[in-house]
Amino acid sequence: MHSQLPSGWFRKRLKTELGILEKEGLLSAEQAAAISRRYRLDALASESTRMLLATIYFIGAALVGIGIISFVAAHWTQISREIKLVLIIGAMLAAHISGFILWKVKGNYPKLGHTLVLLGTLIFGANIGLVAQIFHVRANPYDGFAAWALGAAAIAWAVKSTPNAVTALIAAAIFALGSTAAADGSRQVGWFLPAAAVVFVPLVYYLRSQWVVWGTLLVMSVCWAVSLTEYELFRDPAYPFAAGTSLLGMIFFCWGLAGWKVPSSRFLCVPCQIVGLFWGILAVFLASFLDYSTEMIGWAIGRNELLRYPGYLITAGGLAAAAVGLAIWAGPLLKNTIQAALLGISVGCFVAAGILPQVSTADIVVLGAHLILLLAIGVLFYASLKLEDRRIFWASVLLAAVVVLARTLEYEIGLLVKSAIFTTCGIGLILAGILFERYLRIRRRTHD
Amino acid sequence: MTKQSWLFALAVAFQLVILAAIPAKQIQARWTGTLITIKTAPVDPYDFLSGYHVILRYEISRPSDEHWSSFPSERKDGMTVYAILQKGADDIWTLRTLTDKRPKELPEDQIALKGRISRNTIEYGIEHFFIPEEGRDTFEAALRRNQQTALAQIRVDRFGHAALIRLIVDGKTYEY
Repeated sequence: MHSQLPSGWFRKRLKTELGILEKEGLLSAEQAAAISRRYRLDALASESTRMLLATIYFIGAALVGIGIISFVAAHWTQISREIKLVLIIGAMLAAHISGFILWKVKGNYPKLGHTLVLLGTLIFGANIGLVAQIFHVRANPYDGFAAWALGAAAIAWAVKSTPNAVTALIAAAIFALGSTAAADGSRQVGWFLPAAAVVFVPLVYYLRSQWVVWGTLLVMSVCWAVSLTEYELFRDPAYPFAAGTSLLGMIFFCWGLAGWKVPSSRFLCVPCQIVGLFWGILAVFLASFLDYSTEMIGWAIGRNELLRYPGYLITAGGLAAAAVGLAIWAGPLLKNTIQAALLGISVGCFVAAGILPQVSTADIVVLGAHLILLLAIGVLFYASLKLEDRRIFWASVLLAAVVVLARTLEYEIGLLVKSAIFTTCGIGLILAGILFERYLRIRRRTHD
Repeated sequence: MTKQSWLFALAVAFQLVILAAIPAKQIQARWTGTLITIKTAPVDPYDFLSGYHVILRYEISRPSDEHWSSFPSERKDGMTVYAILQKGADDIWTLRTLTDKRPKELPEDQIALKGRISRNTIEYGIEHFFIPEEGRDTFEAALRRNQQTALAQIRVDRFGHAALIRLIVDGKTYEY
């Protein structure tokens, strides 16, 4: 059975190490030969030559390509509109078609073919600008990125290409971010999140790539943040931002939670839950500042501000309902204490940052936010012990440190007290790290 | 052809449709539109060359209060408006009236140009003209000297869409 070979760098190091191990008598000649055959170490030299030639060909081809582009650019003004169109669209089609043939039809140069298809998508992006220039069309330049995102996503679907999907995600993020410049009421940005979800969530399941999962979560987050600035009311978005991000965090978390129920969806669970918790904790961290909470209370529903914008309420209601639905569907998973506790934190963040400011005073919101933050630190710490995971431990420590630092800087206390707090926290951090490592060692010995 | 080949062909066709949609209105106006000449209007001398394109304004971009007083609806940013242009004795078309709906029929010496209200001006989609780098300095100098007399030739189709064809400044034609 032939499995995929590891990287060339690893194989080169292995070849060097085999010689040393054989010399030291740790491996016999037969064993070294068997390992060498298994990893095809004798083929390294010829592979290097082939790679060098391929690199030379690629650089040569790239230089020829740049030369051709420069020649065309130098004569661009003399070329008629029709010839220009033929050139730029011809280049795009040539890259796409040749790439597809090499990759999917003949199949003998899959990587080169895939690269050419991606090149075709990049040329498509450039063509959007060129076509607009040829016909003197000038709209919002960021709209071109939306068009590029759609075109790239189409290719990603057609040939199951992660690089094209990532291109689509980057273009979509630029489009959404650029739209903040036009968020003056003349542009409807409220549809960005649903549109991003419709385009990219199916791609997540289709491609099953971590890049696409993380990229989709990022793009949806950007789209949501942009849509919160849609209405002039939300130009000073203390409450909508905190409520909106905690809601988005909740739905991301529930999406990840529900993913554990289906084995084929488990690739997205961790990213969704991490990003979900991040947004929720960020929102509640903001709410823990008295000034921020006071601003949030200013938009309380008692002044009927939110009721003027039913579109926002409908979207938020839809997201909350979806989160609840996903959590209910994931029901049996909540027998896992850690998952149940993390879901509680996520919901708690939304309650503290989204609902509490509607019905109470700033002090109560700050108190609620602190309770949720302390619970979050405790749950993450507990999870790190249970799962013996250093990353979760350091995440809990980081959160604790950020909260302490924020309070120390926010409150007017003497420098001496601040010094004592920082020193205590620093020592506590070091001790916590030492104790945690000791705990891990003891657990490993117990397992062994 | 396999299923994947069909899907790929469809995706590439989708990209081509997107590319065709960008200048669709301009192409239709170029092929089917009526060629008219309008006057440009002075623009901010420090700002009208933006990157690779010239920002243009026209006499018809800033209607007078008299024109607005006959506008049937309340003015709002982003609203569609149709400028009814009248051909003059010197073959220059000027603004006659504004309306919020495209007229079904117009006399031969009148034409409807579709625009969008943006602050106190009307934008018709012909405010940008891409100039190649080597021609920019010459064009900029000519336009500065002749802001009052520069002309633009545009094609307007029956839906009111316009395509900027060429600029005539100081007797010289600029067409790219």
